[in-house]
Amino acid sequence: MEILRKTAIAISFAFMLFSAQAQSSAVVQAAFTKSYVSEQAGNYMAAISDLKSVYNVSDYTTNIRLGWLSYLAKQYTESIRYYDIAIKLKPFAIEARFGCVKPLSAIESWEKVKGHYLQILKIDPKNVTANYWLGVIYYNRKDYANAAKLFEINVNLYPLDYDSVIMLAWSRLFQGKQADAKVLFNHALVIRPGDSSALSGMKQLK
Amino acid sequence: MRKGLILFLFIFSISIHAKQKIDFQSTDSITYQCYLNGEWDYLLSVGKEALDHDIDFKRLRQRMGYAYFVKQDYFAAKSQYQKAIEFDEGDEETRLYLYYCGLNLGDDDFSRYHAGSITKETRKGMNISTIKPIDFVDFEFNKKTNNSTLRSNPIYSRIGVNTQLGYRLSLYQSVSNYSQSVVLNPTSSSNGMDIYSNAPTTQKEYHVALKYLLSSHTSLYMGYHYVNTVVDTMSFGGNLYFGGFNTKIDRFHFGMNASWLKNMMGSYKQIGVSGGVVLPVEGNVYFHTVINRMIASGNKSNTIFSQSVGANIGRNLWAEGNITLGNIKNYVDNNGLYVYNTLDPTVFRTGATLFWNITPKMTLIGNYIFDQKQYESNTNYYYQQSFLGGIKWKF
Repeated sequence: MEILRKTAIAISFAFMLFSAQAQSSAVVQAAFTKSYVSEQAGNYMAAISDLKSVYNVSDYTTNIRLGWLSYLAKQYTESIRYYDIAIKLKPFAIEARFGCVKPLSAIESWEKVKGHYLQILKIDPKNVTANYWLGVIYYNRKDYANAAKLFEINVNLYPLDYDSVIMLAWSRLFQGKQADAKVLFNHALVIRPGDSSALSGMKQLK
Repeated sequence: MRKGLILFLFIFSISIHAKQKIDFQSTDSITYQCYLNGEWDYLLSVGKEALDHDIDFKRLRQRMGYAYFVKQDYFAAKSQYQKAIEFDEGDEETRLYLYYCGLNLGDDDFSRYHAGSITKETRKGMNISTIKPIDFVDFEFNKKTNNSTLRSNPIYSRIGVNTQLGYRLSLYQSVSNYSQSVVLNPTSSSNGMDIYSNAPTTQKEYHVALKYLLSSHTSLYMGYHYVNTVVDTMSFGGNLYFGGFNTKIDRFHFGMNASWLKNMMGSYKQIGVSGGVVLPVEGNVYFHTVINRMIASGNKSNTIFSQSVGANIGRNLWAEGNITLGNIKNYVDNNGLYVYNTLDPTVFRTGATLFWNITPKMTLIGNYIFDQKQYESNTNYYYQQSFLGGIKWKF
């Protein structure tokens, strides 16, 4: 009889716990739903406030979402802070780093943007987006050798990706590799006939 | 008129807005408008408030840097541009202003370092070359007077030339001459009269130092200094080897040095630390402390303490006062440039120096030093005053 009583108590506790958790999940889901509606309406501050009511510092999803909404609300420092928390919570998740790159780019913190892309490439070495944008950073700094290395990885993976092909073509041209550049500009013109950037590159070839 | 009114209303409205709420957008808009209209004080006040609210971005630092630059507060401008470079190391505009800040502050190493990161095309346009056989020439002439009947008034002159071997590597060479007549060992004659032996003393020196910039703030140096002392007809040489590093972190600077002087009289090892701070007050008042420990042959050691205080006292005019305590004999100062190896040790020194940057290329230096000196053969003192005039000419 005593055993039955203890079992009943344990079951009741488990049920209460499950029910509290279900209720809490429902509250979180409702807050997220409200925040999506506010975001759709362009009311980013309201969306942030909807989420803050259920904010839990150790919850990855809420931090990522607050990072994104703060970015949309042009609260870049706050946005970076939320993304940084998310990165600490899931260090191997590259989406948090891609998210963080947006507010960092808005304040032109290119050193940190570069740092995130390098980290992403450590986790996912063939990541096309990270390769491309890190390549663009090197290209803007006139570091054509490093830029070309990254664009080349993308071109090997996606030979018809116009953006990587044209950037590789320009990088090769500035590296003084005219023959390579010519092939690439011609290839870009096949992908996008009459492309002004490729035609301009062809004109610069000696 | 209408344009001006619109502008005023714009600034007025955004300033009211800014008072209510400080965010990225308002800070960016206001500081940009201030930048376009040359409202430097307002730009700086909005910028400081934004930074207090944790709003910090590259353009803000660049605009604040430029505002300070226009107001000729190059130290503050440099500090803002240094924050901007942390956001984006590849920003040509930031590098360029860091270069100009260094030039205006007389910090040539800092300028050269940043010049090395500017694109070749820009450098060409600014006439900055990688190798510069004659980067600057400096000359100093020094006349000392003393109240001793046994020592004549010394004269010291020095000329140096700096060569840039790249953006991070430079070579400085200098030759100098010191002359003084010294009365040695008075002896009594048979009739009781003292006989003095007057010994003309000269010392010719050659100094060479190689400096490498590890970063815009940290430099390593090493070198050699030869002294050839001639007392009357007797000549003896001395070799000095020295090295060290200096670094700056924000308003603080720190350094370490070591040297080894070997001459006929013995061997002298010196190791020292230096540190200082530039206070964030008007005039950029700075303090610089140097402590050196000297170990002579036979393990005789003594400590030398030196303290300087300086400030920007006028447009392009800097003044510095200093005091040195300890037995200055065979003491190596100023990164191995000066070797104080006169016969009589200095036991107390105080002085003042004026630096006047007449143009960005020319600096005049005036220096006064009061020395309390002790005769090498007894415990009596005499006093010496030194007047120095110098010029540094950059090419």
